[in-house]
Amino acid sequence: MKTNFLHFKSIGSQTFTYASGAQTVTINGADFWDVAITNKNQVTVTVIDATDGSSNAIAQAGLTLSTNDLTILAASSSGFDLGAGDIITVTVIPTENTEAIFRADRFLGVEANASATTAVLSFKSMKSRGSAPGDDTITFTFVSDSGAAMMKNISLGVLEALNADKNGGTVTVLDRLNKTGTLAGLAITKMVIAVA
Amino acid sequence: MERYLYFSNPNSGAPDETQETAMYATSSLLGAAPASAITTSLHFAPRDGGASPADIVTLTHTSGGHKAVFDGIASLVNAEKNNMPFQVVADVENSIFNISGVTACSIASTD
Repeated sequence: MKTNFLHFKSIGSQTFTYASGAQTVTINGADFWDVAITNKNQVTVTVIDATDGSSNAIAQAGLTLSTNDLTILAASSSGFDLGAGDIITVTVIPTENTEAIFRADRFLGVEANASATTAVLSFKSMKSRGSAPGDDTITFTFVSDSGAAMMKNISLGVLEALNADKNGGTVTVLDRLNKTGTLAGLAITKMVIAVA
Repeated sequence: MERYLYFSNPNSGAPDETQETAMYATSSLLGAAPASAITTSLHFAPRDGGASPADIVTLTHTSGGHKAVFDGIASLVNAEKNNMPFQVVADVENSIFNISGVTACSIASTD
């Protein structure tokens, strides 16, 4: 019995070029972040110093987060003293909700939910085989097409992955970072992985 | 024919404590996901027959190497290379690692 594993990878990285003023960048924009960053401990921050090209990892103690505003404190507070042209990269730390593989034979279904712009894909929980353990979900957000094609195309893309690679293996359904997978051609604007 | 995945991680010398070695049926592999930048958790149906939580084998690997681990474990589950029922994933005792980039493993069962 060959087994396919369906692979999903979300996006969560953004780069900024510092000019002057406050050492604060705004994250969580839909174009760069699938995972909502609510705690500074969810990200790593590096600064490439424009003056010498050095790469500097910023310690957690040198960061603060207020809603979507991430501030790099001064060097004297474990942060970094930014200069014009410095490049700041904020990247989500990988967790079970940023990337995962799920067994094809634990796939439960995909359906529209209460919104016209989201669809939910479910697998049996990877953390439990209990009688009612809940499900692991991947929620896709897209621009509504009034039901014309998107939901059907998502279903077809998932079906393609479920039945792909007859020898078994990893099949990417959607890798938002690398823009690959059986759903890559669809106008999906957000993907949230939730391992129960 | 069912296939099985083998892991060992003795703390010192021969394995002589719980969770130093484990073998799981490939059908017990429930899924996998990153635990950090350098670790990936493999979730298995509990060895003690309970319902939850899952047993977890954590593989340590090169930073960002989660996809390589996913591909590697899928390959071993499907015995792509040798069609053998006994698939060694990470055998620290014998310094055998059959997924590229993996350097260590730990086993956590709930019983």
